[in-house]
Amino acid sequence: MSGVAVIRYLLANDPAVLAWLVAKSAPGAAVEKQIVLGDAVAGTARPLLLVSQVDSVPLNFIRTNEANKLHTDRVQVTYLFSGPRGSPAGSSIYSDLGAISRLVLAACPSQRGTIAGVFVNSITPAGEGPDLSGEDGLLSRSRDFLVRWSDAP
Amino acid sequence: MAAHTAAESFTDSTYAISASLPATYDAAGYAATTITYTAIGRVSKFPAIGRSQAMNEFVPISGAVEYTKGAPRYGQGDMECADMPADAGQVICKAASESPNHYSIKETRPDGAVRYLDVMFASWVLSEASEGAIALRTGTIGVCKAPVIVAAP
Repeated sequence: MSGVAVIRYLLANDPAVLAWLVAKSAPGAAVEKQIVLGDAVAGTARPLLLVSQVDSVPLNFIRTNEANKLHTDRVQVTYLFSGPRGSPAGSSIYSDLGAISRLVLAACPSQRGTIAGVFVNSITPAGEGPDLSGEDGLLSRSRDFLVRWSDAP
Repeated sequence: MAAHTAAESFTDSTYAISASLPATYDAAGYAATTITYTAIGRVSKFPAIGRSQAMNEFVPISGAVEYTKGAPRYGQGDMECADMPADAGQVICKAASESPNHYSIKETRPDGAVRYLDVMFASWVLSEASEGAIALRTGTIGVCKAPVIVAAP
């Protein structure tokens, strides 16, 4: 759970991401509530940034119970939009996916230090996911990060 | 703990090192209170160690091939661990690699069996760097005497 907490913290404290959400949301919306850990609650305003864990892998040595183990969490940030159905490439709603993807990447540069109470060793951008669309006009894309963390430096 | 009667993994074996040598190369000598062993942190690999002898072959013009055994060798190879310059055990390993002296290694298996080794350290090498790779130290050890094995209690 540590990697997702780190990425959520970085996104929720990034002025560019927050400004983008304000611009794309209803006036007066509490946009920090649109950066969600785990699962999206039905009815949550869109666009939504969903931060979830794909997997977390500890680095084990022969002696497994050594203190301060290094973990590598794969964290996925999914951007969810409710747009008109069949938004073609090049349309405004579609280009929003690319815009937020770049902002999310810029908001989570690799760094070392304590973030959200977790000692972060590094943050590595991984792959960007496919574009998905749902029956209800939902359009989404995701981006992965590899967050390496331990309990202490 | 009792000696294992089923197949057992190396998981949770521990490795410790000392610059002190035993008065006698037997269980009592290695267990002497004058020898202080320091745990080596985050060991990920330990080489195959054990007695082996070359099989020398003489092929006569007539008659059967004759075999003789060469000098016993107790093995050498690379011990690998995550690089931690402040780890007390690794500090001794580094010193051992710069020293012409023999060192004592104590390997404790999960069931309590112990193996003592008389070793020389021939290297202390930092692994090749690449993005995401864990920094590892490799120490080449050569075992100079027959391992002393103390069965699990």
